[in-house]
Amino acid sequence: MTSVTDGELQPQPLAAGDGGIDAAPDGAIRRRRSAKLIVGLGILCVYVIMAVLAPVVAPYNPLAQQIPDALAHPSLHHLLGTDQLGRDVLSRIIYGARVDLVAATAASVGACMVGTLIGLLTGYAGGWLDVALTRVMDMVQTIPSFTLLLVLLLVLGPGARSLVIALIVTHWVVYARLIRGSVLTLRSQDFISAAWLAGLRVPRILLRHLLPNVGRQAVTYLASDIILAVTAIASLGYLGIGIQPPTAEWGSMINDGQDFLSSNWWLSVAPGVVVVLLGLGLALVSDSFNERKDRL
Amino acid sequence: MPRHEGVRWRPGTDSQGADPLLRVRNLSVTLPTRRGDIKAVDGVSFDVLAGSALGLVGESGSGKSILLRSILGLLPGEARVSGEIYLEGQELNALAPKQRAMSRGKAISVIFQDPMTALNPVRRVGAQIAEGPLVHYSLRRSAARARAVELLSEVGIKDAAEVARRYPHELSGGMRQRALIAMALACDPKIILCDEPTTALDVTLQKKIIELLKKLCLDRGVALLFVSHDLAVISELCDFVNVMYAGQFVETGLVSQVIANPRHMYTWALLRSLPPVDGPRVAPLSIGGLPPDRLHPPSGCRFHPRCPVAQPRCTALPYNLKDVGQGRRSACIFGDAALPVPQEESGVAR
Amino acid sequence: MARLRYVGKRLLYVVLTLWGVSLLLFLLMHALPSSPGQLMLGEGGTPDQVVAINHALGYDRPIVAQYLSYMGGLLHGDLGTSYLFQRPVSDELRIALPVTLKLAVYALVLDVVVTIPLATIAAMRKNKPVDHAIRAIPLVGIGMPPFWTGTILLVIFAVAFKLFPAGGLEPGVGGNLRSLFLPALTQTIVASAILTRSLRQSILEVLQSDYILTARAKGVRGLRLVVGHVLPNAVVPTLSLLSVLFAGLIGGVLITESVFALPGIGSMVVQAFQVYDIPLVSGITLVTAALILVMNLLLDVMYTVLDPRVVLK
Repeated sequence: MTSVTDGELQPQPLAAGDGGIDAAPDGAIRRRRSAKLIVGLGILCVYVIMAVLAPVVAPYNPLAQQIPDALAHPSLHHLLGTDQLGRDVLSRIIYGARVDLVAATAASVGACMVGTLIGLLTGYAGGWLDVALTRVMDMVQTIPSFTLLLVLLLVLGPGARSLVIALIVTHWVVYARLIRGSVLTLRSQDFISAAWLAGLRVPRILLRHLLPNVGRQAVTYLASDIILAVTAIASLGYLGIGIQPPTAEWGSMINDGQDFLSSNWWLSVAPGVVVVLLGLGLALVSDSFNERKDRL
Repeated sequence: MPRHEGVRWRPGTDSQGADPLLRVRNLSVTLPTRRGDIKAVDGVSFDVLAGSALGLVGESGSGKSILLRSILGLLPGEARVSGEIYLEGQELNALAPKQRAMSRGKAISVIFQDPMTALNPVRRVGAQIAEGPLVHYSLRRSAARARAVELLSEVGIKDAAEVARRYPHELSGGMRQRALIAMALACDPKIILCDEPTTALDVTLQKKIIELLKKLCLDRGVALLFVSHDLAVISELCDFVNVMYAGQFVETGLVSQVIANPRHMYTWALLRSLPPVDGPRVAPLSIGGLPPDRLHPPSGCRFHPRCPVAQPRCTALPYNLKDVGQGRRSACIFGDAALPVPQEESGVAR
Repeated sequence: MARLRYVGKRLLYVVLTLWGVSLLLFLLMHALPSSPGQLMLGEGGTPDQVVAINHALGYDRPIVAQYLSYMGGLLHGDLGTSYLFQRPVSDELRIALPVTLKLAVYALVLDVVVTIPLATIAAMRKNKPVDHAIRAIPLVGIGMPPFWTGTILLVIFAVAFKLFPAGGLEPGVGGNLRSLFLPALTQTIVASAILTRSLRQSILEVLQSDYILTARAKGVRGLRLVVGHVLPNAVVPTLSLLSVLFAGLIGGVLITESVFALPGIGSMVVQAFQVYDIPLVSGITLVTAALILVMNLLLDVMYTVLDPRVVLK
């Protein structure tokens, strides 16, 4: 019995011909997907706990300076050591979740809402409004978000609130495009015309018929968006923009640690790992949602 | 029944007794699926003589396309193949994968069903036809291109040089199919496998393509292994026919004989399902029942659930494709003589 | 010929979008709570001094007039004068922009060099360990902020192993290639994570197609199959993705400059931001927008070259 293949580079296409032939058994795939989801949710839970219960969970006050103890190596007292001002790194990381994660989530959710609203409006209304808004979307997306954020922060001033607003302005476009696309597709479908003919008015049509269909896509993107927002906040923090010291923020912590790379490298590495793990958790969750959606 | 034109092989000529070009022995292909293993091809054996045309007729899912692919060695990775395939004496399944890959396109080539999807949409037609000679003969680019243009003329395309520079989506359906034929001829194959090449075309085009195939095969002495669900097309083009059902051959023989005088109930049912072209109008009879379950095929003769004259022993007797004289074979218990059904006109011209 | 017309139309669109962006920037800049005079002098300036500076800069004129002179300046390539450097913005950019461009191109090249082999191998060895490994990378890669990855790379390759310079731009071609490698790699880690996933999926779909079957039936195999048949079809959707990602790529490049102390417009814009140098921030923003538009145009043209079925509208 020989299995016939091509040698060298060996493509493995799925069985051709009759529909429904699927080589891999189902159980293994399903188990893998649930594992992904569980691990992902587990990771996210840790972060949520950090953010919500920071005062309970963190061993020290993140702002408390103990200059004599500065730059201590990790020990039982300070699990991740101390930074250049003697502050406990672990506590600062935990409190950092309150800043980075909360701000990022607020920004993403805000962008989602604004974007969805605009997407619904422009998709359904059409006409010059649609054209004008689409042009605006093009322009916003043309400016790299980093520079746009800087410009907005110049105008809005420093602080967390400006940061969230600036992020919303930078991020809403993707949602709007997503929603608009779906609305345009759905709009041409018969059940919408049927609803309209039956006498349903526009807002009701939007809410009950369009939103459930398109909303799922937006929520799926939300997970990637949150990590993008965290990255943006941390990047700005690294550059000393946005969230100002002495507030514990992961990005500025990485910057602080950069002067001590040879001796206390974990000062820069640890906050980054925290961001990466958050990204991993979000990616796992959104991946398993995506895969589940495909099977429907 | 009058001999149709284009039959290359005649009993008694010196090609009888010569080694067949293609010999397939006990070929089985098993495809694992979510619900279990399916034996798409179940212990099939046949020969194709050089210069002759063998038709494989069967409904969708009978395994005919898989059979073609297994001859080429182009099955999905998880398929399991057993049996032997001899091309010009060489056992193909015993070849290392690399050697197997290199054997394709030269002595043996293919024409697939859908000309739109079978051509690479982002490359020019001429380049695709020239690729075979480039790979197999290491021709220089210009020589291969020139040959591609020649081939395009040979298959009846006017302005061949101009067409060669076009992309597939810029050609009409008929031209694309001709281009596919040109591609199959590019390295002077000894046998061409055809996977329903006329099914995607309208009737007038079908006829032209069939004429083209007949002419080319006569001129070049190329053998054909022609898969189709359309018995009428096969009767036009082929010398021999093997009827396939649920992965097995149920009847084999000369096309003219099989059509005039079927020796298996499935063949009879197939013929009976075609409306007659001429003569009195007779309503076609569709074949009752459902296609066979490939996971758990019916016991004994796989056609028995749908057979109008099935006997109790048909559910028990094992599959046996036996000789029934005149070089024909049948797996039906009634195969030795005329079938116990009224001999009516069928839709295939006699 | 149709392609030239297409390019022409797209160029027009580029110009229009840039105009829109400049308008947007102008409005935003004038939404600032403080006037330039206040910003430049800070706490120490007297009201008279502030008024004087504002007058000198033309800030007290009606907004329409200011806009007209702004637009007039733009058409001449005049992006205003930097508060920080007291020189025309365009002069500053002329020095800094090439650095950023080199880094961006380097990053793109690395993206291609990394993504195509990785995606091809992952697709060809689908569901084998290699495939799983390659697919797992994006899960981690997407969460890695470029500035942090840059720092890590610095630690490992520049400080610990001293293979690459720890910052700054060394002169000469060799020097450039060495100093820009780590920054470009930083960006590639993120971009290739996303692109590999898309390309792998695309390759898998292409492998199912009839024309690949036909090609294999002709005896085409191995590298010829991949390069001649699989990739040309598979890269097309990924190219669209690259278009979308490109703006993010540039953003990442700008930030990475600060990590590696590269004298490009990324470092410059951060400095400018910190001192409220409006003309410089605004000028850099406009230039980066132009960069993105041009790149998108190039990608779109490449798209039409790769896929002859695309109708040039």
